[in-house]
Amino acid sequence: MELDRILNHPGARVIPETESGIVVSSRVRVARNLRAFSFPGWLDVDGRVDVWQTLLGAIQEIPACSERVICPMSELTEMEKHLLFERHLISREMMARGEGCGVIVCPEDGFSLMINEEDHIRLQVLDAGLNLQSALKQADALDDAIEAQAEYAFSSKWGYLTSCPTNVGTGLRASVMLHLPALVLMQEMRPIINGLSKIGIAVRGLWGENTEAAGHMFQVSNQVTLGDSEEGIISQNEQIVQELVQHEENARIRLLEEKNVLLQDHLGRAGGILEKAHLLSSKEALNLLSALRLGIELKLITHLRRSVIDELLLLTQPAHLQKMFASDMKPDERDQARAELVKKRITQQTGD
Amino acid sequence: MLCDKCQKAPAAVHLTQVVDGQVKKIHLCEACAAKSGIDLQKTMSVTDVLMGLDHLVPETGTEKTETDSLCPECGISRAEYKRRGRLGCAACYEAFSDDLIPMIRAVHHHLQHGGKKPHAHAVPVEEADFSGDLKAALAKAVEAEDYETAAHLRDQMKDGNPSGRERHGT
Ligand SMILES: [Zn+2]
Ligand SMILES: [Zn+2]
Repeated sequence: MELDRILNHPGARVIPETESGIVVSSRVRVARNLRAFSFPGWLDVDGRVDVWQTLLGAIQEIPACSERVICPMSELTEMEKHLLFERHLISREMMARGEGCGVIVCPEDGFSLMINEEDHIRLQVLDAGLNLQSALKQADALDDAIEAQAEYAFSSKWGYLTSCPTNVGTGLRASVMLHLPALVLMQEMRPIINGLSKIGIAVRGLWGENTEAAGHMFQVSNQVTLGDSEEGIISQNEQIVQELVQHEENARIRLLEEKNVLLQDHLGRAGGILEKAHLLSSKEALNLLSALRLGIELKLITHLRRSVIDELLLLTQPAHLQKMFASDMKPDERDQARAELVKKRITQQTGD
Repeated sequence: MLCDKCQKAPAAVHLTQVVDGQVKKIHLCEACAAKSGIDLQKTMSVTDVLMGLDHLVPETGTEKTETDSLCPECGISRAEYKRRGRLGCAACYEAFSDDLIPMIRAVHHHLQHGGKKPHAHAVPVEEADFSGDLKAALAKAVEAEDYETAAHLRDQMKDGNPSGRERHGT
């Protein structure tokens, strides 16, 4: 199955063990539409198929897309859709779509194209660590290559025209995924989220909402897409991410110095539950794995590698779990499988 | 400041909304915000606020005079795009610019693209042939949040340029 080529690829999640893991990954997303068609939400099936064919034809001509995996929504099972969703390759909106809609993934090159979601094209480039600049460069080149094959909807005043005016202009959304457990533990996330929202930067939990963010993973992205240049948007975003990283580092130092017992307790409980539990919900697993991740980065946990935790953060999600155990599981069966998997992986390493 | 809806409790939620092409600031107390379906704990998308919540406008004073204009290219109506929060096609940007300009301004704080441009293929969306002066004056009035002047200028532009909507009759 070709989908395995996507799933077997680690994607952007691997950062060298020696580097800080606060910034997990960078993502650049560009929205584009074809001038000749209505936006996807107003197209009938024939229209969508027409757009799909047009774009597949265009992509065929692009050398950078030669290693593509084509995933039409109409040919995927529900589980396969969920797997792609958990990999951030398709959105919930896309999961509900059918014929003429889908995603084209070039797994080894870290980019994908959603076709006929909210816009005709959603081009996404994913990279590990803080690498928005290089992700933008790659997206820009791909965008040029597509543009050479197809006429975009563009106005000199509004820029690239999108189905929702919140994306108009550059159509660019630059987002960075950050692991901010110390700021959460010190209860400092809410004012940060509120402050950044005032300057047009959105901070959202990767899983769940706001400060409830499971796994303490946050996504920082620009809200304003019109007016500034692509480079301007990216550099503002990078600057804010660097500030957030500094805040998190400071919070980690304060945790170690001022709240050492609380911190040790937090880590000890996480390790204890993960080693002994027989049922683990998705959310509980994310939160406890996040604690271990913090412990590893603070060198308070030395018998585990961060890459093991990062892999578990991915594999303990429902669809990935089902795929691994190759069965249709009820939620409580999943919780059991999840606990087993985690226990095996983290105790295996202890024995090394 | 008191709540715009009940005029009793202090306002705790402040929203910017576009109604009939005009930006309105709406201030609600927590109870009225909750009743209107605004979940304070949840991050709301700007689109939800700007495009979807017409019913938030206090009933008193503003009577609705919305003529339902259509996009000449894709045929969707203003009411339709507002209901779904999505435009129909590239030409909608011109067709509904009265609504879009204040909304885009509220979201992006800019009314002019400053980024990448297509190299060759893309053709700018047809812009109505208003005289440049009126257009510039309108942009300026909108920028200054002077909506009375803006509405006046728009009327002038419509008078001087009757070609748009009636053209298909010829
Ligand atoms: Zn009230
Ligand atoms: Zn239209």
